[in-house]
Amino acid sequence: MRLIQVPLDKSRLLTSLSYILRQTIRHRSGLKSRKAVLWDQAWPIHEEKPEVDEETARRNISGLRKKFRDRLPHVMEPSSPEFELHFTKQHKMRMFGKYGSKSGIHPGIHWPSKEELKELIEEEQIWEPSLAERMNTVLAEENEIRSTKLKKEEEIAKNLKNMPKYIAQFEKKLEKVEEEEDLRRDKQKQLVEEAYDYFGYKVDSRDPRFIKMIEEKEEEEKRISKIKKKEQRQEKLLASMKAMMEKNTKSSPEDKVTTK
Amino acid sequence: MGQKGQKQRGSLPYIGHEGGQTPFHIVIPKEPYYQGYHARKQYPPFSLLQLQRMIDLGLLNPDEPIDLSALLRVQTFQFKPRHNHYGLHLIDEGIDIFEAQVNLEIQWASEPVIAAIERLGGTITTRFYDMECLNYIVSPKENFLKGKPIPRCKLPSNDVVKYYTSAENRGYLADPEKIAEERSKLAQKYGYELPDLKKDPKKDMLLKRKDPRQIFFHLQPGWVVNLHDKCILKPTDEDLLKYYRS
Repeated sequence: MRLIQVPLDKSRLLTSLSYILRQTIRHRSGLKSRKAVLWDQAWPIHEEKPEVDEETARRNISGLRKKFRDRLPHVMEPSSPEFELHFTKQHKMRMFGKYGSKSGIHPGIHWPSKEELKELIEEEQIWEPSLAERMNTVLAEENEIRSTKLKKEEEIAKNLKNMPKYIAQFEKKLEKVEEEEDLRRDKQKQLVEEAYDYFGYKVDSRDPRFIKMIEEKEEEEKRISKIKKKEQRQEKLLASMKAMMEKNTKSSPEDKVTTK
Repeated sequence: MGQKGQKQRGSLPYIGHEGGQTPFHIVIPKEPYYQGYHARKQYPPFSLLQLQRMIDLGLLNPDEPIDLSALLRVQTFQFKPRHNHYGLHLIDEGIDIFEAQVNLEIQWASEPVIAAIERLGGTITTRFYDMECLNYIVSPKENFLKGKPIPRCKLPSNDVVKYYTSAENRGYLADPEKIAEERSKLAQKYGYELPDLKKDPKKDMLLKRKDPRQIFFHLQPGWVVNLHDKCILKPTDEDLLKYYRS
């Protein structure tokens, strides 16, 4: 048989050991407390009941263990603590509420200790402001809302003064658009009329012949405008040359003087 | 469990998953008026008609002050603090047939309802209870059995503090002099003659009020009621007494 050596993890071992230790301590404490009938030494012990006689024992045919039988409504005996939970304040209060002084619990458990009370009061000072403070915060919030509203209203009133100016601008814009539209419509009408003259009958504006006519016309216009431009340029040039000539003729006598 | 597959193994996609598409609740933007909706205080309606009926049937004694615990003892309506029920809202249903003279303590009431009660010589106060106290009031027996001391009622939270300090709403934190003023003002507004409380034979009962920290009549905060021993345990430590009184 082969043995596999596993390296020892010290930290892991320690944690597992501590866990086992804690478990045993808990168990031990539970055992100890189970022996003690009393929860609180300061509270007087309730009278221990005499051991049940044979007859009553015989009548108990439920066969329940004592701790379960104690819970029955006609028995109602406080059971001794068993688990960690039974040592909490809440459970003790519950036991006192159910069994009263019979439970053997000191009634002082119901109220906070001096230190707890101090903590409670400190906590309340943070989370439970006084009535006046509450009213102040509420009024401050309301004031803030009102002031922001007023500010906005003022701004609106200020901006509304510019309103007629903006409306006039907008109307002007609309008029301009309308004018452009009228111009376009007139031009279209004129073109249609021209097409009627050209073809001798009515032609739709979407007709390819109509489109072709318009294109030809545009080309023609372009050509004419080109020629016109050329002529204008030439005229300009001629004019400038003429001006130069005149200038030269005027200044020539002086030039002769200077050359001499 | 029914079918095989996803349904059997409980591995279905979450509710609202749209197969990878951006879910509905993310596509639709948040609505500002739903902010803090889950935490808002709820006041389930309780009508004057119901109150009159309880008195007529002998379920409620109008010769004693009527507060939330007295109304809950009747057990004819549901009241659940875990649904954020912070008390009852007295509504004006049955306002024309209401004819009882009562000392009522309620959590929310409108102006005509206040007028209807005061016209008949009764008194009304609106009172705030915090959640811990409400749980105690709803099930006092369970809390006594748990050994819990009677809690000290907290002050109203910021969202309702204004309501419970105003005399118009007959808030329990309002100045009594101002309340007397408002009583006469309301009588003038609705046109009825305000009965004089000082001459009333039931005067002591009608003017009975709880301390702002108190949640039950005859019982003080910090006391422990033990049902087994049939006794009341009271703290004697001065610091504790000071804490419970403050």
